[in-house]
Amino acid sequence: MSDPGPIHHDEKGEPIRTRRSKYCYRFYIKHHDGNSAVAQWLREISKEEEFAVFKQAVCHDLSADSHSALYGLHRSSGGKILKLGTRDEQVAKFLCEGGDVWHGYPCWPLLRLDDTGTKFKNRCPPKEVFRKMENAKLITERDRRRLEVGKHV
Amino acid sequence: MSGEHKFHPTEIRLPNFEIAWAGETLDTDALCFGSTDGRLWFTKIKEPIKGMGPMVIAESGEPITGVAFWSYFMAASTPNEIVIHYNNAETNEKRKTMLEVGAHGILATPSGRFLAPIGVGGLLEIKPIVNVNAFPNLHTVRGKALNFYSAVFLSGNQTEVIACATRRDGITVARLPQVGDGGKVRLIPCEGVDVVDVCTLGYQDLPLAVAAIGIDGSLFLMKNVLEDGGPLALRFVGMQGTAYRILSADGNVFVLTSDFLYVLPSLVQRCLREGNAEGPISVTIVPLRAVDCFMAYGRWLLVIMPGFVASIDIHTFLGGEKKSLFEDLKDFVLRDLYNKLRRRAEPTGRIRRELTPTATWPKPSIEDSPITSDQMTVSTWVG
Repeated sequence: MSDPGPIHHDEKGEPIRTRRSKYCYRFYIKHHDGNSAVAQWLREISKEEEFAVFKQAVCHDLSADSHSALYGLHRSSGGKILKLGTRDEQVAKFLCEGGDVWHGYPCWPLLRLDDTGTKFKNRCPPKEVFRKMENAKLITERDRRRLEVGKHV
Repeated sequence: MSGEHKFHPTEIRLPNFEIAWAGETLDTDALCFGSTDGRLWFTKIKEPIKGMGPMVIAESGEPITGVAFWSYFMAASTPNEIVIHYNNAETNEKRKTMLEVGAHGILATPSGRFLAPIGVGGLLEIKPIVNVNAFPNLHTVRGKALNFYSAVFLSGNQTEVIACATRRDGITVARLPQVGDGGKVRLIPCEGVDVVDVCTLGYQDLPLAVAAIGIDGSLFLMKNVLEDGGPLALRFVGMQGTAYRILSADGNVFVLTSDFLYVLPSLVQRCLREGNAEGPISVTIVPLRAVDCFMAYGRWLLVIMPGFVASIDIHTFLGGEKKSLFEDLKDFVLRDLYNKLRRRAEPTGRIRRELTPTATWPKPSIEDSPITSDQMTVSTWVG
């Protein structure tokens, strides 16, 4: 089985974990290797920034319920919500691989033709995640309204 | 007749109905509103409180991103689905088809096609036929992952011409024959600018003229998208905010950014017809922190604000006086907003801005490619 990617670690090689939940984070190779078939993080987003998006998602529990994916976004120092993905995505989705290891990728805002599943196909993130982002003051009401319809902010 | 030029927006609020989209219907005296939870409401323009609705159209409860009409068919899009309704009141036939694919919007062409930009998936075409399931065709360009973000119908008889904003790939023009394959696509790069919206300029003698807007406020004009060597590219010094939308009517261009609504009344006449893009151009600036903005019947600007929609007759912008614009804003629709924005807003409604000449922009390398049209297998639920 090929290596999925490195775990975020410090200079000593110890995994860097989120403060409260003690989650660690893997930089998935397939979301960084330029393969256009899957979502790709922008090259301008550093590993520290990608991990910071994840930490923020964990910190504010940006999920639709306690057992599902987390979602995050990246704001500039001026408060502007920046692009994360090569397809102009502004929201990232994080999944638990099992145990305390997570990975993430830029999240496409529309339900796609090739999305799998049958009865419960839904685009992501769910609307309640945007409400949580607004309540946490990560986005404004106007941002929420635009992100909910899949538009840029 | 100064009274005719006063800025008198109507504030539209529908009870328990948060508006996400607003636009035209088949009746020119009516408006259609889509909610943030998948419902529609139809109202009369002059009596926005009276009307028909709300009615659930998208059972996912997702926000409406577009509604289009053709004959007895109505199509609505959300980030989660496209719904096609057939409702023939004469025969009392009703039918509903739902396609499980999200779209940024939807438009109808005169030949009876519905076209939906579905992002990197392509441009989805649905040709509905009575009593037959919708058979969608997906138009893409082989080898290119274009991000179809918005689309507008331009013209066409045998072949219909659609212009699309395709983000970093600029403007993409699709030529779709009404019968058979053989569609073509023209890729018009815009110097790497992230093009987020495109609109028709609506001139009868220039049916293939478009305006497009980049996320950074760069504005692109073309007289003929099928023949021009490249767009006239303009940048306004001082244009503020993230660009959301570009609209046009009666030769006026409207640009909505995250901070302002810019009205450019003479831009098209000067830059496209007279070929003069040099020097300052008159711009009316309205401070608005709007969610989005739509045009209905080439006359009504429907500005989606958090909590309500401001319906503005565009004639009020033309020939309006500096003072009345702001005074009316204060008195009518945006009283609270005006107070919040007053300190940072421009002091007058009509301001001179400099245009950066386009000479620094190299001519783009325009690429004509065959379009790949595949009949898609899309999960549908028919009821």
